[in-house]
Formats: sequence, C-alpha cells, structure tokens
Amino acid sequence: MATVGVLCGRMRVEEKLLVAALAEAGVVAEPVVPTGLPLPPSRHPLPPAPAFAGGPQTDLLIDRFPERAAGAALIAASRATGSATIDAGLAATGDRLTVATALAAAGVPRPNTHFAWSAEAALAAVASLGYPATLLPLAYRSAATPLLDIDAAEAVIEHRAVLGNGVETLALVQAGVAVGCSSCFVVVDGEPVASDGGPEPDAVAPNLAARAAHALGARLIGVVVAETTHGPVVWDVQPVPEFRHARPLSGRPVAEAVAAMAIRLLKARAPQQEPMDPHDPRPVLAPAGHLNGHGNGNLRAEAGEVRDGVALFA
Amino acid sequence: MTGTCPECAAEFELSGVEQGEIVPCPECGVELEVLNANPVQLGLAPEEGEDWGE
Ligand SMILES: [Zn+2]
Repeated sequence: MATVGVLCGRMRVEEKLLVAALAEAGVVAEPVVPTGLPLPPSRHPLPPAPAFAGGPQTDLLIDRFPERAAGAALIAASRATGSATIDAGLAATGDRLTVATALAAAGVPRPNTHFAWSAEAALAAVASLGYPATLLPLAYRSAATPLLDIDAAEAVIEHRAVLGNGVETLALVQAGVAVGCSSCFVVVDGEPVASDGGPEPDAVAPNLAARAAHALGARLIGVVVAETTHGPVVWDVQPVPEFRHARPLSGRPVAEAVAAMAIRLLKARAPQQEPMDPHDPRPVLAPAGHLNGHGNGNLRAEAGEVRDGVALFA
Repeated sequence: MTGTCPECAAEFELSGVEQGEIVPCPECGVELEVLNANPVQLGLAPEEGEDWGE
C-alpha cells in the first residue's frame, strides 16, 4: 500500500482537510513531522540530493512545511529516496528572488522590481520606483511591508537593517501595493482551483496564476495576482498556501483537487515499483541511509520526478 | 468553558484562564494567547524575533 505523508510542522486546518480528502479518496495519509535530525545540505532538486536516513520515507510527500529552508531540504531528501512530491516547485526550494527571476524569465507579467541587498540599495530602489512601494523580504516566512511614503520607507528599512543584523535588508522592492487589489489563487496540478477573492469577472487572473505555477513547476501553490493600471501582474507566491477560507472556482475544493492529483501521481508511479527482478525488489529506487549514496539511483529517481513534472503540464 | 484553536480548529476545555495568558493547544501544540477570558477567545501567540518594525 502506498505511503503518503503530509510534511508539516503541525496539523493545522489545511493539513486536516488534506488528510480527510485523501481518506475520502481511499488513501491513508499520515502527518510527517520532522525530527530534530540535521539535514544534508541540499535544497535543489538537481543535482540530486543524497538519500538520507532521517528524511521522510514515503511514496508521496505533500509539502506543507512552513519553514522553507528546512522544507526545501526535507523534500530534496524525500525525492532522493524515490518519493514523488507535491510542492510549490521553485517556490518550494527557492526564495522570492529565485521566483521573481524565474517568472520574469518565463515572461510572466510582474510589477517593476528591484533587488535590494542593503538598506541604501532598498532606499534607492524605492526612490526610483516611487511611492507607494512594497518591501518583500527574500524569505517567504517574512511578510511584505507597504512603504507608503519616504518616512515610512526610511523607518522600516533602517529598522530592519539594525534589528535584522543586515540579513533582513535582503529584499525585493516592488512598485505599488497589493492591498485591496489582489487575490490569491490556489493552483493545483496546473489548474486554478480556488481564490481568496470575490467572483472573477473573467479568466485572465486565474489563467495568469496557472501560468506562474507552470513557470515554477509547482503542483500546489498560492499565486497572488494584483490588478495594476497595466493589467494583472503576479505580485507574490505562497509556497504553502492557506486555503481554509478559499472559495472554489469551479465547485471542487482545494483538498479534493490535491487528493485527485495524489491518486494520479501514485498511479503513475505504480509500474515503477513492480519488481523487475525477483532478487531486487525495488531496483529503481536508491537505498536510503547513505549520505554519499550511489548517484545513479538518486539521479534516476530525480529525473523521474522531473519528467513527471514536465508531463504534468504537457 | 471551551475555546477553539485558530490554527487547527480543535475545540478544547479551558478553565480559570486570564486574558494575556499563553496556553498550548492540546491538539496541534501551537502556543495560543487568551485574547479574551469570558467568553474565551484565542489567538496565535506572537512569535519572538518576528518584529521588524512593520
Ligand atoms: Zn491547535
């Protein structure tokens, strides 16, 4: 029987909804709460992370871990054991700069953005973009801060620089503010499934959210779309979106859509797990427990996952 | 008196709590602040080190 894990810090409403929807679909899912073990230093899917004995041992892992640096290492460790993952793709492993870069490279409309690596650079960025602007720290766990005027900008940026010991000054500065003119769309398996906003006048914003999810290789992601005078832009993304209050766009709740994707991914994996040789029960998968394990097994597991991701949107 | 955890929606019994008190959710373990004692209203306790002047 397939093992499905929900990687989380604690079982919140969203994780409970996922476990219930999976149970409804006939799949038993268990919360995977990481232990205190340290992780191997890899957070990117390629090159492959080494298999890690302390990592989650599942056939499918749904990433709902709030702390992204640890979450990224945990899903990499999980993929290295051959597990499929449902995660936010590049947004699961990267920061706001990585995501902004990938979205821009894919031609996804974005607000004018500068990357500020110091308090001075942040202030120069706001001066060049004009007011209002928004400061988005690179780490997804840190909330965005609107900078409505020069006094607010100086206060916020200098406060972050002093209290954050310099690290917190690493941020994106985006033109405008998204408060009151944005919706967060939850995109599941390429489809915009739900939103925290009101009814959509047309499909432009949901389609833009789906395009962003595609560009990031995300299977489950929240995409914040803001309306601007130049049309809708992808303002930000949420690697682990909340959806307890999200309004389904076409009647199907988020948890149900995730459960359907889980079934699809488990079915796609099933032939891989058929023993090719009776003496070698799981030849494709790398054995767990070797920090410097055999690269071939890992590479095959990883490549399978990447192919899977491409097939998802083909 | 019962309170509801805003993080996991668990309902649990609370007695003799005071406003401002921090209590753990018995189900998900998150730290909750008693925003109001009667009727009981619970919010997520503020995390330390998260104030960057916003
Ligand atoms: Zn709780």
